[in-house]
Amino acid sequence: MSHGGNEHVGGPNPLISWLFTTNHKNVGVLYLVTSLYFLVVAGVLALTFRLQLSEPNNVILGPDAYNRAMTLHGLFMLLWVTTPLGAALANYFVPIQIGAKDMAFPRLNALSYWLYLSSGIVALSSFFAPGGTADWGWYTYQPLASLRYSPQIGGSMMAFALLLLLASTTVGTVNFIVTIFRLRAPGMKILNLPLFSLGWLATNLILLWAFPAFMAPLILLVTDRLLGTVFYTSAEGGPLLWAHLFWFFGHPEVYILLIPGLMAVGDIIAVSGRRAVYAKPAVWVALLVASFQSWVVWAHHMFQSGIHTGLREAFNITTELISIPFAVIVIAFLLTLVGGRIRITTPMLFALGSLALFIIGGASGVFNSSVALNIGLHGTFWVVGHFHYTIVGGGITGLVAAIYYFWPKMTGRLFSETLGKIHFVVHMVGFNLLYFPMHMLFDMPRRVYTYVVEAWGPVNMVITIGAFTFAAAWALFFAILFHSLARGSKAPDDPWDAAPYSLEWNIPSPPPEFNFPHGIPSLSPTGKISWITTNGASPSEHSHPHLSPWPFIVSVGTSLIGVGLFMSPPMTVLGLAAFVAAIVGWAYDDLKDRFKVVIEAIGEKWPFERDNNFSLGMWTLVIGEVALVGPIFSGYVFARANSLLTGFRWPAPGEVHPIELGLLNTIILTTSGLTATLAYLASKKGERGRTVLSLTATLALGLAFLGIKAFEWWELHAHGITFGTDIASSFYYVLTGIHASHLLAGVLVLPYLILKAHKGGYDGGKAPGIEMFAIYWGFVDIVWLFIFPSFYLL
Amino acid sequence: MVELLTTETIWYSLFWFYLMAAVTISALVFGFMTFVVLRYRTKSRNPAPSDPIDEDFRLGVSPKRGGVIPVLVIVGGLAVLFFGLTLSTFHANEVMEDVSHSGDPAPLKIRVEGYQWGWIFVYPNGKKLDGELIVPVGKAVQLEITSRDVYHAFKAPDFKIMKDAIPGRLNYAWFRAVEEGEYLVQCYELCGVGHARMIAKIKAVDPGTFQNWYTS
Ligand code: HEM
Ligand SMILES: [Cu+2]
Ligand SMILES: [Cu+2]
Repeated sequence: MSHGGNEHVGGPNPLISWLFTTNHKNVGVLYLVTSLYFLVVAGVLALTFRLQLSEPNNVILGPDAYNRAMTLHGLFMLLWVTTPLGAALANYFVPIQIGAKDMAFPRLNALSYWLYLSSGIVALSSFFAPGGTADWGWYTYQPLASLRYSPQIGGSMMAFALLLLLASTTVGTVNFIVTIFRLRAPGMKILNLPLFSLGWLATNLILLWAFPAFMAPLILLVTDRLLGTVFYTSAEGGPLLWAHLFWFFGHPEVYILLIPGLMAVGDIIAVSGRRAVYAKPAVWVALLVASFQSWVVWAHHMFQSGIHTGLREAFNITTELISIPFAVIVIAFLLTLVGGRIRITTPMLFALGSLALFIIGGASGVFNSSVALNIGLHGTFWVVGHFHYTIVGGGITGLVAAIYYFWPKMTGRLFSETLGKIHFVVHMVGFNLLYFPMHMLFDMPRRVYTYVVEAWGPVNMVITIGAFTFAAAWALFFAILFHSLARGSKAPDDPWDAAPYSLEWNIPSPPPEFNFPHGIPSLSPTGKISWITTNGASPSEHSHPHLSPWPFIVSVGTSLIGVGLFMSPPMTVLGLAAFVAAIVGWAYDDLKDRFKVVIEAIGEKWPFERDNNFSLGMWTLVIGEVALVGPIFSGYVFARANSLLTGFRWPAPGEVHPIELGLLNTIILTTSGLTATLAYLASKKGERGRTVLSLTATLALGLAFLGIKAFEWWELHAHGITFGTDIASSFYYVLTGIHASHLLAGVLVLPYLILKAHKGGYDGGKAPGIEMFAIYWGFVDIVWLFIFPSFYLL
Repeated sequence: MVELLTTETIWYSLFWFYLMAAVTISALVFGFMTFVVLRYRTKSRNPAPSDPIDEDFRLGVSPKRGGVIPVLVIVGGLAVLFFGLTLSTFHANEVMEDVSHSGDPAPLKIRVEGYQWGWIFVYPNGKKLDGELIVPVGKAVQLEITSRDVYHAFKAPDFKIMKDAIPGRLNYAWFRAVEEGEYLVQCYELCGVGHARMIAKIKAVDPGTFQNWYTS
């Protein structure tokens, strides 16, 4: 990272160029530094509570402090450390590995990072809010996390920070999916990708639905805490509504944590053994199969909650079956080495270590999946052991291997192999001392700040010693990296002899700004790399059209809003102002065509040859939106089904929500869908007048819809039906509220489109903006077609 | 005296079965891993340009590497193993779950109420104990578990029984103490600052003593 902003970005001021950069490699470095920083924070927290647990009846941390430290540790390690660490390497290397000069949407990429940082800032600030931060454990069970039992403001801040983080990741996900599908070098088929990029694609396909699916219960939590809805406090919703929605996200999340590290391990194994990956198509299929399986296993986290026996047995089976694709992957990696010439380097040691630890974690997972054994294991340190073996062993140890592997390319420096090997030994010893004995504590509850059973003492002491050893391994790791930056000898372009295997080893270390100085990489059908030379330089080296201040300013705005909302209203106003200014500035840049994206005209785009980047991006986003709205609807179904048990009567049709108004709005919205489509068709023909007219009609209809909606809300409030009246009103307000805010966002974009169309910006028959708008508007229409019958007719 | 069925013996025999399977499989995989690494390891590697190994080492899929058969062997082998494990799990689960398998025609029925932070046990005759459950040795005890406030989880690790205690819901479990003594009951779901201290005990006494206490 020593090369700083100058080499990548240029420009007069290195600080400004880091803040305003949109280059994927710089964004990657920012992610790397930030996620490692958060890792240290969350790790230090863990040391404090390991100290507390080293002996029975210890008094270093009280229950309050323990619960907060433990919660923050879990949330940070899972959401702010592991995935962003993968994202760091992916930002840096996926574009290079696929043969692109940058991401499809560089500014959105910067935005992802800055929102990630601001979510982290809000989350950490919550620690210092009056009453402290969230203290309910990472899975936030209800009703403990409701306002009644945990009134502290810091808890709401944490929920807000999580929403921000999920939004940031979703932006990144859309970007990566478009990038990987549409920016590949000529001849680069999906299966040509190195495993790391392939794995990152699989990860993003999971992220695309899993993270929005987590936003759903979080939004309900935030409205419960801030607006007084009763999703988790009423008998119809209640604790199980949260638990189902949460774990529906929770299990996919663990794959998200695992796959980037595991797939990097596969690359390192192939490179170190100098062998083609064994049965690569099977590895890819296994990843896809596992992603699908992760939809149908969530109840294995709820085996003790009283789910019907037959269903539990079904989830037992689906859960066991997920180990099969992972077994296929592990065995394929081992078979890769057969017949190879294995060079044992530091990355290779960590790769093998990661695989070994993952195997142990997979084995203990099979125990958990047994509905009968789960009775004895659930809620104990055994489970803590299991998931640290899989996540820290499989995922993070794999990412450590990947950092070593990629380091010379990123920095242009070698690290000390001797120190690296020592690090490996300390890492493995510390890890196993820390996590293995946890399996012996299968009677000890997790998440207790202390325990009275003396017999658990000695094992806990060993665990704590392991924790400090493991921490020392991390300190050594950072020391090795700093040492390499300061003293490391210069790295060659291809330190691992991996040039035939992956593009990044064919370019200088560190890579130049647009990655490929020899021309456009291209692949022969047999996977041989050649270079298409372009005469004429890549976009001007001297002007810097790829700097943009707006992503950074958006993030300043959201941080201020996030902290201010809970601690200081003026700060919120300031944040809001920054936010709006940034959005306007961004739009203005676009109107003036100021920001240039560097994308090659040729390349591999299967299976999306017929789309453009914008429409594919919007379609992808819409899938994410469906994953957000879908779970809320299933919550609605869950609550209505529960009402039959609790005896709660849902309002009859017309009793609360006037059918005529709903019908009127349905007609208005479907008509606006029609006008939006007309606008799209007209813009494709380059008919300026009709485009402007149709867009304006859409705007008018959208505003009419919102007006009627506002009137309905007003009337309801006047009749005393508020957010918290009952579960029916909670769902009505939140679902129509989410829908209306989506509509509002569309309505706010329309003036921009109208202006641009009016000025002739779409005369050429190319109007990606309008196409995106039409897709989005169509989605919003369809959501209404679900809301209308659910609340007005049924 | 005939040996009475207990939940913990069922659990432990299942656990050993799984453990044996896990140790065997992991030993095979680790053995294979060690073998491969040692066998194909090289200290100095200066691949000649014509090194035949290199031919396959490139971007993309090697046509020569990887067949369907190993994949089918893994998938099939694990499927068979899991079939065995699952059947024994389902069998154990059925017994652990349903008090009618205890062989006791008239189990003692107790209502368990978790609260922040403790456990209340209610007997059929209305007797109520806070923090202690007294049961007669040898008798099957059926628990009806719920919560008065937040999400808790009832567990008695010595008997390997557990069920979540959820407000508004009832969950069931059964156990049988075969020896007199005191056994730990604790909450296994984070429920606030008192979670770690949400402890109670099960006191197993001989049936005569129990009867005296119960009817007093
Ligand atoms: C290989 C097959 C696997 C199986 C059969 C399996 C099974 C399970 C089961 C049944 C549980 C619930 C335990 C309980 O709370 O009672 C569980 C928990 C968990 N597993 Fe796995 N697992 C597997 C792999 C993984 C992987 C690959 C990861 C992550 C990389 C992972 C991460 C977790 C986490 C984080 C939890 C605990 C969540 C919590 O309670 O906080 N597991 N696993
Ligand atoms: Cu899971
Ligand atoms: Cu508890």
